[in-house]
Amino acid sequence: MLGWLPGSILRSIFESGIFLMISIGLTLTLSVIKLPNFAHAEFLTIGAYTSLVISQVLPNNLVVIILASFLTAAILALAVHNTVFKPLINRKSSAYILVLASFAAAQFIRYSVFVAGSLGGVLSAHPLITVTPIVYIAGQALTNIYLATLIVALSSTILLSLFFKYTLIGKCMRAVSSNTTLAQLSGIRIGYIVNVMWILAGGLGGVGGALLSPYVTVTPALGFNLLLEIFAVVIFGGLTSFVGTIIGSLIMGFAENTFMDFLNIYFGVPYTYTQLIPFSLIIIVLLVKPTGFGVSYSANKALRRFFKGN
Amino acid sequence: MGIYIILTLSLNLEYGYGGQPNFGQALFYGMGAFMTAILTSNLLFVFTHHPLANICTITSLVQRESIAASNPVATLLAWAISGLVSVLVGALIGFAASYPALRVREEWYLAMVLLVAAQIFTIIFSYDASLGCGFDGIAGISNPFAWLTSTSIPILNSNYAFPSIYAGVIALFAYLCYTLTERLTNSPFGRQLKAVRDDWLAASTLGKNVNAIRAQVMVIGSAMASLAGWLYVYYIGVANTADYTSTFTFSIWVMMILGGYANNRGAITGALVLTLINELTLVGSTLVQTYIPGFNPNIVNYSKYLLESLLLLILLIYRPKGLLKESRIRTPAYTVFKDGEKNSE
Repeated sequence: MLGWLPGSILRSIFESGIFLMISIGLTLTLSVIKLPNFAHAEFLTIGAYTSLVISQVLPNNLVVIILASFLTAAILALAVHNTVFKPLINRKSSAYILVLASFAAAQFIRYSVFVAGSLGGVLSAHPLITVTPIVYIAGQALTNIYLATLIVALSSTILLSLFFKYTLIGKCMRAVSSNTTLAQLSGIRIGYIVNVMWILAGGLGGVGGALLSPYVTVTPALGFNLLLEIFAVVIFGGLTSFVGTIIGSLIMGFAENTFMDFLNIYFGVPYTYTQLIPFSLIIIVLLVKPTGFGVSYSANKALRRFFKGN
Repeated sequence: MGIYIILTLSLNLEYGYGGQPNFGQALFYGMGAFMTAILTSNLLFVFTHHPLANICTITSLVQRESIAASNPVATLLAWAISGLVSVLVGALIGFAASYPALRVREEWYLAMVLLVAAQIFTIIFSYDASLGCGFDGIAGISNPFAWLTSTSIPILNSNYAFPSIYAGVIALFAYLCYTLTERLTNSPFGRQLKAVRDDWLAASTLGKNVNAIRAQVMVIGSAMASLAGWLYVYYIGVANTADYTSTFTFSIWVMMILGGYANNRGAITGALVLTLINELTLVGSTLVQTYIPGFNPNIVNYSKYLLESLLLLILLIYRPKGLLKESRIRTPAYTVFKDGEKNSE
């Protein structure tokens, strides 16, 4: 009766992992420079295309592919920031202008990829990474990509939390995100921190794209199709909270897979309506609880104090 | 191009003057279009006493086209009624869309909500066969003046007549919309809009009902966009969700910012420039095809989008006010005031 459940849950976890990788970058830009970056999905596309290109030369070499995707997406992120966003932010443009600019940058990148792709004949192709099952749980196969995604997602989550909590740069970044002016007064070089942030944001997005690529056909619109869902993850997580992004990606992964399977099997809702779930959730969350489901740092502290009776 | 003008004017009203970023303009546009298509298809049958069959089949399409070619009264009537209804529906939806504007916490949330709403609309209409005939959309909406070909008046008889007449009609509507927005914005209402846009807190302390003003501007803007959709469907003959994507909304934004926001003449300029770019890339792609065979013509198509976004980026960084600047609100009282000043010197 519930035979579809294990596969569905496994798929949800996989998608959550991918969404997590990609959305951390968006959360970072939102919290550190208050920029809703609509071009974020393009990092995903670039990562997927890097994996495509490199897999032609070095098929099945996951480590190299992941590293290369990180690098290319990070370089792209730095380029985009310094050409487009820095002048606008320095001019203190309103949020709408930033959104428009990021949209325009996204379109520019996307269609450049279209042009490059059609020139090279790779408008929709499949990277040469074979997906091989490694372990079997409850009759469902866990493939090598799956395990790689889990490892990368978990390790990057742990590494990032350590980074933010214990390293100097991480603490500076948290300072910039909480109060930019005071951070500047304390002597933190904002430009440097912002650049580091963009490297992280873009790079992680690229890795997410690379991990997604074996399962999908790589097209230039790959990122754009997922853009709103990435935003949904971040919105569920409350936009600036790291833990919230984790929660959001879990919600997203499960909503799109397990919940959709549930609707399909018990109510006959066709799979083409899958995208409606996150979209309607976005609207509901934005209207009803704009702070999302994340737990902010101060709320955490307040809870702890409450329970300790302090 | 007239249609682009109307669309840009509507967005200008909503964002340039009212400060509401409507990233889902395509929704209203598409809604108007689809309403028109559905209504027309059914109305044509109703008026000619045909049975109301499924409008998605090809036989129905052929039937509709033949009706349009022969029966002037039915066609024009269907055109007019569907126009009225789609404008009304657009206004209603615009009213509904103004609710998020009052509730969202950060500025760009409104943009997000509308963008998502437009996306939902696209999905529902492409997949639900009962609403929009699935992916292919609704076809067979002929030009409302197609019946002219069967009249015996020599000039009007040709195949060039009715498209140009319709183009004239579109131009007429564009002019009407322009006049309407000019009057709206060069008035105390326009002043209110700008006040709400610039500092809604101050405006509300001065006694202006911010929510009502925002709702009003959304309603008018959406009604105008639906009007554009209605005109467009009759021009193209098909209602297909692929025309009303978020990429198209972005194009409308480019037009508006290019020409200068909060400036109606700027909106027209923006629409002009973008139409030029579209036409140029079309011409370019056919040229390229003839001279360099084997060269993928789609590349020139992509260049249209590349140009659009590049233009917007350059504009935003170097000249955010657009080509034409925001102008003062020229109410009749103000004009008299200015003349008085000049006369007294």
